[in-house]
Amino acid sequence: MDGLARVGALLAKDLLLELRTRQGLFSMTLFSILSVLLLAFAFEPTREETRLIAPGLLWIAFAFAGTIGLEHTHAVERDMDGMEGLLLAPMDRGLIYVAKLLAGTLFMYLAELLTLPFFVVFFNVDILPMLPQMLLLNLAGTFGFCAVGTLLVAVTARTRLKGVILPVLLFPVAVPVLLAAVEGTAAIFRGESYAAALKILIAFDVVFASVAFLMFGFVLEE
Amino acid sequence: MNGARNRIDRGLILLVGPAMVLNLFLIFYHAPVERTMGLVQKIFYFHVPAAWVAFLAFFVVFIASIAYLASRRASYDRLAEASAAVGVLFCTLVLVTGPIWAKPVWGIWWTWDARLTSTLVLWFLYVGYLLLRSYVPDAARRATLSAVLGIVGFLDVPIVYLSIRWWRTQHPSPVFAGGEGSGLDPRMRAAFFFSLAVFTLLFVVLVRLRMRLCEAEGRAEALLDERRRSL
Amino acid sequence: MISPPTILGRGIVRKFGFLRALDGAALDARAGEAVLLVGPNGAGKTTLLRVLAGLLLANEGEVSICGQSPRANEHNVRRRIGFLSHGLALYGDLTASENLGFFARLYRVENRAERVRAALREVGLESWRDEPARSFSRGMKQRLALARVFLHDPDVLLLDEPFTGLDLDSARALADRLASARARGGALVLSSHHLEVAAPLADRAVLLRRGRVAGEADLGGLSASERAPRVRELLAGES
Repeated sequence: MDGLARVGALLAKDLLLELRTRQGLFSMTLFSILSVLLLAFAFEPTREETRLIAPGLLWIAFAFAGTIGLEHTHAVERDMDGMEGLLLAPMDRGLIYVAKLLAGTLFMYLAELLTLPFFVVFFNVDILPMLPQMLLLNLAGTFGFCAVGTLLVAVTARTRLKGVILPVLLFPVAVPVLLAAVEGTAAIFRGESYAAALKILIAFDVVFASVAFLMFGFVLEE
Repeated sequence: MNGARNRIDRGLILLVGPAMVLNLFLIFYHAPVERTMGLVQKIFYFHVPAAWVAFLAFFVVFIASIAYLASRRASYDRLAEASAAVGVLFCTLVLVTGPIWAKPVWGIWWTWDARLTSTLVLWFLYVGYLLLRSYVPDAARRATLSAVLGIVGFLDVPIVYLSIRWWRTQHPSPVFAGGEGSGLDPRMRAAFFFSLAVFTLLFVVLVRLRMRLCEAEGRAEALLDERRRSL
Repeated sequence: MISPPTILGRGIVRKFGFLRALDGAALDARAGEAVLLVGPNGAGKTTLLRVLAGLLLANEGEVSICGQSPRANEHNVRRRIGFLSHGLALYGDLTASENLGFFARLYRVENRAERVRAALREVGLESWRDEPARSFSRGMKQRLALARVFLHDPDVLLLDEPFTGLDLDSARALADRLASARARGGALVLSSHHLEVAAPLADRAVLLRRGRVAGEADLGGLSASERAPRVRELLAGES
């Protein structure tokens, strides 16, 4: 009960900080849309073949933007060393992971939702009929990506030059999640069943989140 | 103690050097040339043992990382670092020799086969591991952070392999599976297993030398710190 | 039954790489005792306080707060620690009262709103309660951080340079606050270069040098005005 209340307090704090500045969500969304734009330049968006690779393009944009978001949720702890206050608090440090994972997932998910309209316009894909499936799959994919990312951003935050090596560490580890998400999205676009991909994605989510939860305490300790 | 270690290392080097020469002899003179693939098949006597050593090395990183977090002994951290560095070296060999073989046999440099692709992801993972280490100046923190990555990375390996096999495999399993009844010439088999043994021995030697280098680096760092403090 | 507040460290070794920041340091404070930690820069004062607070692992040695490890799984002991460092542990984009409100929730403090208001009043920040901490001067940030330290009513206080950046009035108010915490039976360790304010508070001064205890001075028998010179003597004797 106490644990839940504390996760609530941590999460509310991150939401309030984001509400104050809106910097994290804004830069993440902007970058996500920008990536979609660049990919539209790179692959002629009106050709039929481009639609086949659209799910991959979408997730490239999300993954790039996600690293910014993850970095941001951790940077607020560095600003005036708020993390020290969290480490002193009489609670399990795994709770910090849980709260950061939820906050990171929420922000990245929001950025994805805000990117989708631009994707529709640039690539002329009608996603409205498949929106419910996409919302569900994106949530599962985003959670998995953040499950790994929340651990690794805590790792890279403790290195020299802070977050610069985050993508280099994160992308190889997140390959299974990204592959599953792309496959699921592709299945949705083709009008096929995405249930298999979603199930596997949820299984990955559980595995990654549990392992990261167990390792998180080591990352924070000194 | 140092003397004994020196003697062991010298003995191992004296052993592995001639063994590698003998290995070449077995591969190129003793084992017959494969009928359909020809001379290029010889590359498998290097490719497969290198892959074995790479996986062994990353497994050692995993075990050493767990041991470090459990015991906080610097020697486990040195083992993890040395093994990762040697593993990346052999992983690179796998990625170079694979396409050299694939081009004449399959007609393409690269195939999105689960094994090959996971090896590539693995290579990125452990280069990232070494990169992370270079970014953390404090030794204790470096050991802890890289141990976390060493554990998460290795647990990721089977998941990466499965996900790629499910979704990104465009070719059937490679020819050289070595399963039952693959009908390998006994001389080929001898050369292959000898090569496997020599590569493993080479791995041990390289890791040992690399660990000593890590230790020496640590001591040099300590001397520098001492000097800085006394100034 | 609550165990009395005590701070105890024995034979603490803490290495950063091969550098031994603490090399067998020892320190203890009983209930109702205040210990002043002094020493040159790099002597290990901050490291020692962080080890005692459970923020840093000791490579060797024993650390116990109220008879328990500060890293123990049941976290009751961390609830009794009030720790202040250079880092401040605040959020720049939250207001003063939001900062305290957040930490009050983390510590499961009762009567939150009231406690936050009282804490702000105590450090003289009540008229700034709705201003973001980022806009504060260094001294105001320090006062807000102090309010955070005292918010959950800790009886074990570990304070690293608490007087930094404080003006004379605030420093006196803090000194009074620390004296009353000690009088109520709290255990107290603080490091400070501001000997004029810090020394009169302390029952003992401990000199740290190169990660080890290099000297100690009993201040208990001295009058308040004799204590700072005595600590200075201790510091001078170390070279």
